Amino acid sequence: MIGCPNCRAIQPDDAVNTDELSWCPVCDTEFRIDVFPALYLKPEHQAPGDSIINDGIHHGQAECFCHPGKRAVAPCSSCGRMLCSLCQVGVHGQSLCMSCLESGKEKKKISFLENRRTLYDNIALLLSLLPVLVIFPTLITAPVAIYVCLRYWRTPLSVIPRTRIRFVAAFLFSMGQIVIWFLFISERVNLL
Amino acid sequence: MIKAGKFKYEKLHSKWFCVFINRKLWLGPDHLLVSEAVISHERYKRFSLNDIQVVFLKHSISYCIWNTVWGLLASLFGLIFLFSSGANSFAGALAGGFLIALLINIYHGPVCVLYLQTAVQVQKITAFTRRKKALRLMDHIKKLVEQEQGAVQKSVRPNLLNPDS
Repeated sequence: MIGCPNCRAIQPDDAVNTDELSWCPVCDTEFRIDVFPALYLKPEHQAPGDSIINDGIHHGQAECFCHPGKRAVAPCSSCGRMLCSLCQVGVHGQSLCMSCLESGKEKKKISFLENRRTLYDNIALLLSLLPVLVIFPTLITAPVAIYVCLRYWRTPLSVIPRTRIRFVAAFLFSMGQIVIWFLFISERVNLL
Repeated sequence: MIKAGKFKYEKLHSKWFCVFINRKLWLGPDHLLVSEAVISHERYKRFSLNDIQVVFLKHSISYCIWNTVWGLLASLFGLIFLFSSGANSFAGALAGGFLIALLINIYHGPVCVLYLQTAVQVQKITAFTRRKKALRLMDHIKKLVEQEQGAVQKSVRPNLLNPDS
């Protein structure tokens, strides 16, 4: 059943997939709803789970690395261990074992498993820009921003396309602040 | 070495400026990716094109709210400009600025929010998008999903009011 996105009132069949805006007769909200065949798919009846007990491999057949005595169906694409149907995880057309999947996620080698990344370029840019409002913290934050730029320059920035322009801007801006501080302090020292 | 994940995402929707959460929509080889960037980090949500059940768009009230805000501010400073002793040029400039903001908002038209539904969740994929742009994006997503799933044929579509039929 398709409800109005605003009031959840059930909408008539002809208000869906019209490619035009429709009005909810109850709350008068303008909306458009596109429905796809996945909505009508009934959950498939799953086969019962595979057992981990010995399924009697024959001589010459490969056995699973984790379940000795169980027939292997595929090697791991990363480490090459033989995997049974229980251990094999299909990820984007590859067969992986659980340990490779886990380490790939932790070491960020499988980008489509990542759900969070730290934006060090944004941090560096904010460190170089925000303290300018109150001037004096720039004495500390400018070197910190330069450190962040240099330390994380080679770190992958984002899963989606992103340039390193923020790093460059933060570096140049922080260098400018340091030069200004240097000139200011040297002038003060000369005056004394 | 795991070679997966070497594809490049294609941008479907983004905004150049957002106050809190910068939400962008990207197209991967077989999925949509919603990236939500806050100041120091970015979160990703992936939706396989095969799993998308419904995409819906609704009008947002923020268009009316912003029109009211700009209108009230323009009126307020306009009245100050008209009734203050002497020509208060600062109030006049502010009134003009708010009036321009109001006209720009009216010119760009109503604002919509786009949602995507799968079997387990409903996800907001864009916020504060103008209607024309939102409808174009919806058409694009529809085309992409239909390439994967095929179109819903009215003859075989069950009655939505009575799902048992």
